[in-house]
Amino acid sequence: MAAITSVIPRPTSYEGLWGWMTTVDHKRIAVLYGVTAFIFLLIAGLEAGVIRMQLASADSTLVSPGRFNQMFTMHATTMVFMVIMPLSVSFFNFVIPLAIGARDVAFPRLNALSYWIFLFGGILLHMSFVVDQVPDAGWFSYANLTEKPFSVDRGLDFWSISLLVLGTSSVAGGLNFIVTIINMRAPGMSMMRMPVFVWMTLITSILLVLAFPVITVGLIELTMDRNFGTHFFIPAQGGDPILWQHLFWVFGHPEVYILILPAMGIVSEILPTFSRKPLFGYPFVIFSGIVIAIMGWAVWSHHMFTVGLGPVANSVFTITTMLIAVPTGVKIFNWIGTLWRGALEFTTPMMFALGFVALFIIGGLSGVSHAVSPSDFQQQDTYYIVAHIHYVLFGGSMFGIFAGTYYWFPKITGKMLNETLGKINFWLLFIGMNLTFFPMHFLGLNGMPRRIYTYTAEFGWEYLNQIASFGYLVLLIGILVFMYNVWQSRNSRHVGHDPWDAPGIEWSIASPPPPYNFAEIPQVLGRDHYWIVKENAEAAGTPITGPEPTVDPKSIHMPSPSYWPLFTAVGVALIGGGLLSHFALSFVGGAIAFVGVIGWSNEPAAAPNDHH
Amino acid sequence: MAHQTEHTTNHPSTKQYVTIAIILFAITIVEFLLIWDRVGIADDLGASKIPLLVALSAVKFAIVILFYMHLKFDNPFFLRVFVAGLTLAFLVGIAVISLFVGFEGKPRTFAQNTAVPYEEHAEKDSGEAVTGETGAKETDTPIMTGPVTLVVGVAGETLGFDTQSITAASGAEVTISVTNPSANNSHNLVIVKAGTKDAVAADGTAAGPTNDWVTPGDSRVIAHTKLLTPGVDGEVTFTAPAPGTYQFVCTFPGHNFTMFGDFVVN
Amino acid sequence: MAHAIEHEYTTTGLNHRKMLMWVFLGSDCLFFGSLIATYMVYRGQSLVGPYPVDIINVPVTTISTFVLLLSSFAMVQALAATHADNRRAIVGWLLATAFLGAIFIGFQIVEFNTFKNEGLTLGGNLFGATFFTLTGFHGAHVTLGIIWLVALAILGKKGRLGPNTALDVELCGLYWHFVDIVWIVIFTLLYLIGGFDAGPAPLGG
Repeated sequence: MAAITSVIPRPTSYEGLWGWMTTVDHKRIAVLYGVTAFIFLLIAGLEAGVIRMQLASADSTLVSPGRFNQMFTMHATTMVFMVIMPLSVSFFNFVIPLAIGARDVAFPRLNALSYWIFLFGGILLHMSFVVDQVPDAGWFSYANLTEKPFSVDRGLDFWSISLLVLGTSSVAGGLNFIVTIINMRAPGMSMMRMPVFVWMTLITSILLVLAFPVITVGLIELTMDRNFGTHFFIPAQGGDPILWQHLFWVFGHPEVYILILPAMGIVSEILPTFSRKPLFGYPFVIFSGIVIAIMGWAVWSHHMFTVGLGPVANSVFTITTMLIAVPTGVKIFNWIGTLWRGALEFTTPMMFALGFVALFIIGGLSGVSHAVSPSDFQQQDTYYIVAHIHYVLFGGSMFGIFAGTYYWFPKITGKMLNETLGKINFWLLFIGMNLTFFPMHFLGLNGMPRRIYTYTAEFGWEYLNQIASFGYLVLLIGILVFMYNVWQSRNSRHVGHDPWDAPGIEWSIASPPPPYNFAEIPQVLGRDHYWIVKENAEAAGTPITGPEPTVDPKSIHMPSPSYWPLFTAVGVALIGGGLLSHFALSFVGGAIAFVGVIGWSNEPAAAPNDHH
Repeated sequence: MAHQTEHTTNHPSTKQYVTIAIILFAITIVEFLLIWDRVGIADDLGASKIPLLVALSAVKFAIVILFYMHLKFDNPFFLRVFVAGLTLAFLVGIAVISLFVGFEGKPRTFAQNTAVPYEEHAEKDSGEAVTGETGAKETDTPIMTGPVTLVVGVAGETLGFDTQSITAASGAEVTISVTNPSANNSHNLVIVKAGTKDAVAADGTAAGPTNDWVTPGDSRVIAHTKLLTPGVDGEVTFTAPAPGTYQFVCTFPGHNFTMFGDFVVN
Repeated sequence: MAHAIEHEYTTTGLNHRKMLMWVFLGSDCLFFGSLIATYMVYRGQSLVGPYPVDIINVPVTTISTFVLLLSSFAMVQALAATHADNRRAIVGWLLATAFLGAIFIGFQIVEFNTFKNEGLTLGGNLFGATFFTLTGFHGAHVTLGIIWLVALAILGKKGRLGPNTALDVELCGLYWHFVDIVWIVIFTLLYLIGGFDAGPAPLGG
């Protein structure tokens, strides 16, 4: 076995394509995650475009009903599992080691493995377009619509197998960040000194590793129903489709917090920076995050009020759902308290953060309205729900992610995104978002069902649908402006290491950060470490003008690049691909993954010649 | 070397490990004796052996994680992490099971209605060939003649009837009275020719609720009730047709897959 | 490698890999918890036989349970031998653990075959589906553990296991004992308690 590792020499290059493919540097992996997820965002956005164009007029037949089902299924699945989650993970990767004063994550190669499995899982799902057997049962794929008699082609197999593959990536990533945050903080950084974003990452990671096993079991049972003749969700043999709903939503509700908590963390970094005062009520924000994470496990059946669980269960879940709005409200008051009497600076990240707070409040309030189970009976599966989910996931998560992108872009690249373009970008997204999704509240209350293919003019839904479709075009232009802004930044001048005068430790080092991050591991002085450092320096009469000095990278012992993560991920992807095509391929994949793991464990984390 | 001495003091010695292994074996033997009918304890204990078995397993579980996995001696952080996962798994599992089975733990009516005994098992136990299933069922239901009222209930919130088979004599005036105790679901009851329930229901879906989800003039339909909204009861009266087996079914869209039974005319 | 890791600075003073393993085991609790919940939800819901009482053979599985418990004992001995730097004992106990695990898997293969011949299949009824899925995934965990143990035994043979690398053995041990405690739960629920379930009695029958 050792022979394998000695035959193929270890990669040493940090440059070029091969350097990126074998990288274990958390900052490069962050970029890989970000770029890949953004490409998936464009794909999902185009799918949304097809949906909006089809619904723009009554009795439209722009696409076939089957294609329409595929579009909304793929749009939602891609956005949830391949855009918002990995974009959040991209920020985890870039920011967490910097924000806790570490040189990398706890398991750099595992981190690379997470990325490659995510990439291959995403590709695997999109292979369904190649064979034109696309999943079409909605993003929560309710049984028994997903069972073989009702979904004859392999679309749902693509869906379940790819999600199993993606789940492996998420759990590996979650484990990695839990250990990193608990175990790799710089001296002086106690738990209650950690930046809020680090806290939210920790909570999100805990939710990831606990919630994904549940959906894994559901997906395994679905796959077995479809391929091995079991009847887990088929009533004809005593199975119960409701079990799928339980397994899905036991996972699905924590998943909702997995999607929103990172954005809340980002916003909690940005608001204090541009209010020039520390976050108001830091402990309350942290504890409300923890409470949300715990209570998030006790509310899942509010997605199932109309399945007939009975009045007792519906009442219990109504109460727990109303209660979970309390910690969420606490956070909103803390953000507003942070702004109160602050010296507000309306930079682009700040605008997006404020947009987040405003839109998230709207989404939160519509959420409370269907936490009440009797009123949910009216709203279930209408466009009202579509409006709600887009206010929290687009107005919430995506605005948080855009805020974070504008905020950390100078740290990632050393260059600033254009502020004017940034503000145009913000207003286009803000207006487009409200034009698209606000009318959906009324459409839903007027009875327009979610996922409907088309409608006749007599329903009176056409006008509002046209506004929504117009809003989509505004959103599209907003995204194009963002892309142009990133593109044009390559020519802009280099900004200093700390353009925002920010409190986080990551701003104390050069931009972009050197491979080893910190030449000397900092001693953390308090919650807003870098503000304290700058104040102390000013008080001492020697204001800080530049980043921490850099040193020769060779003098610092860093993990070496490795091709084993990529190799192992290919194996894992082939196992999944084999289940979808030919079982023999799965065995090949298993063998590759096995060799990968053996090679991996025989390879030291850092190559000996790098040693001191 | 200090490292090593730390281990020898912190971890159980071989002798202790052997003792632990013996305890685990002993508990397993006790568990086995509790349930093995040849020992005779099993019947005396009845259902009370279940909490006993659960408790014994919990003890085994705890011994393994505390001693074999060193949690008793290791940093409490690991114990907390593991117990957190374990507790969450336990609570979520209990919650899902409760939402399904209900707190009484009774099997759901649907399975009860539809289950058939396992032939091989029946053969083994009785030593005789299995008697015809349908024959056994028919003798259980008294044959009605003359004007008769049959009662069919909807089984709570489940999508099922509480009766699997009803019987009447050909030519008798039959009144089927249907109760719908559901708080959420509307139902109807349609008597159809054998094997046509799904087709009738599919066509009924197109007819819509104003027609009680039944196509007007459908030749396969013998009789049907109105659409009964949640909590509302209803009945239908008709003359029992020629002898044979018919079906009764709810044609509310989707219900026909689980809500049906046989209507036998003698 | 392990040498370097043991002296790595960590905030809590706890080893990265050990923490990873414990968090993973906490996560795996949810995996088996969900599979067990599925079994419990469908307990007694099979519409056709064979039902557990028809085929479950408690005495035989009690023996295989003993085998798995014994393997956990061998595992702790392997770890003790690693701390004591006794190379022969390390390899011996690791292989003994793997061998006992393999016997357990052998029992499972025989059991699955017998059940199949008696008519229990994945598609036949819910009992078959939940039983094979739950015990099958447990068996897969055991199999992975056996591969891991053999790989460690090879390292031990090469003299690469000792007090400095005891963590390599300890982590494998944690995984192995976890698989063992999952079996304790499965044995109790599926065999001791659920093994005597007959099908639901048909109404009026």
